[in-house]
Amino acid sequence: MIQKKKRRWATWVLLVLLGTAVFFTEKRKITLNQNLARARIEYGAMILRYSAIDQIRNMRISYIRKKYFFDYPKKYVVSVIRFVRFLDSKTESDIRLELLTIDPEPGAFHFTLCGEAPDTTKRSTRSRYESFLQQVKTYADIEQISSSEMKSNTKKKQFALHGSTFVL
Amino acid sequence: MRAKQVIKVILFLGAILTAVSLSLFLYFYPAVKAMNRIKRETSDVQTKIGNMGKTLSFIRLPDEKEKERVAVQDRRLISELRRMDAGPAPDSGLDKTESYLKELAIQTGIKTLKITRLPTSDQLAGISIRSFAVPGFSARSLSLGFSAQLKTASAFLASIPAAFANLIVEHLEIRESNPEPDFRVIVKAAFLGPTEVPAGGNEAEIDIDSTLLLGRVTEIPDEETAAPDLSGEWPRIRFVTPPPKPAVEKK
Repeated sequence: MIQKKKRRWATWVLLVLLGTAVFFTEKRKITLNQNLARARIEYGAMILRYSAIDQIRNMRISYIRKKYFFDYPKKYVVSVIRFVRFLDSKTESDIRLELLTIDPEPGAFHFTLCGEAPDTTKRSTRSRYESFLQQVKTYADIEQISSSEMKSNTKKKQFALHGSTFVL
Repeated sequence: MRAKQVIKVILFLGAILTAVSLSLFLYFYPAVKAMNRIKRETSDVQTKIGNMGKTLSFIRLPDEKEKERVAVQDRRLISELRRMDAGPAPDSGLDKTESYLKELAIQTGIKTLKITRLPTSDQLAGISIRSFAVPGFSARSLSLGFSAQLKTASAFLASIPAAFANLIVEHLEIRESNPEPDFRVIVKAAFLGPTEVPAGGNEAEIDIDSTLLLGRVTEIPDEETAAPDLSGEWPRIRFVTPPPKPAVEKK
């Protein structure tokens, strides 16, 4: 008989404990949901304020792009002329420049220079050709450069330089 | 009798264990999971609010001076684009551009300038013309061919963007020739015209979180691009094919 009472008592204790745990869990859940709802309301208000800011940003983006439209072509031409003049001044007398192509990229331009160096088996010509390549590589605004050499015959050496240069 | 009681106790403990396990798996585990999810969502929203708050505290609202500057630039762009818009004929703008370019070539010392019209282009200064968000904005390409010394050609190229904001020098080709090097230049002409803009091309990329967009545009310095220095010696004439050696007469 006592055993039965004890069991009943234990059952009640367990039920009360479970009930309390459920009560506090639900309470915590409600508090967290309220916090989330408050944060969402604040976020919604922020988005409303932000849409006005977006308009300001779009206006400024449009301004910067149009400024680029006005400023970039002048800067590009000046950079190209400076580069062509640099090449012209650094070319040794016996190196022929045959073709230079320049194409724009945003903020830079890409170039390909094809030329011919005569008789690079001679030490003097070879050193002048190498000094020309070295000087092109040291041009201040160069972003990257690569050179390739094509042997046409022993008397002449054809070369091609590819690279890109910043438009500053 | 005793064995019966032990069995009852075991059954009782089993029932309690089952009840506790059921409550854990059916109620507490999903409840904790849901609470964690709510906490995560709240923290995400609060982070967004924090970031927005930071931006809002840094952004400088436009003043009258800034609005005026933006309006002036918009008016300037439209007027530059309309400058070549001579008449209702579809190519009247290009006709006018060609005559301007020929005049400019003569002024800078280029004797013959050959102009070829190329198809509509969607790129200007390396980026898609849709980036400029001007309705009716279109671009045509013109190929210019001429022979000149490097100094004369440089003067001509530099004078194009200085004289016309809607003309943009893009592709440049210098080919060896005699007595002067051959030039091929592709110039983009921007118009407000009926020409349809083909889709594609790179949009101008501007970082949305850039500090430039937080400050006023009046704070962006106006950079005046200096004209290229053409003075001084241009001592060697490059890209010139050497003249053929005179044939030696055999006796």
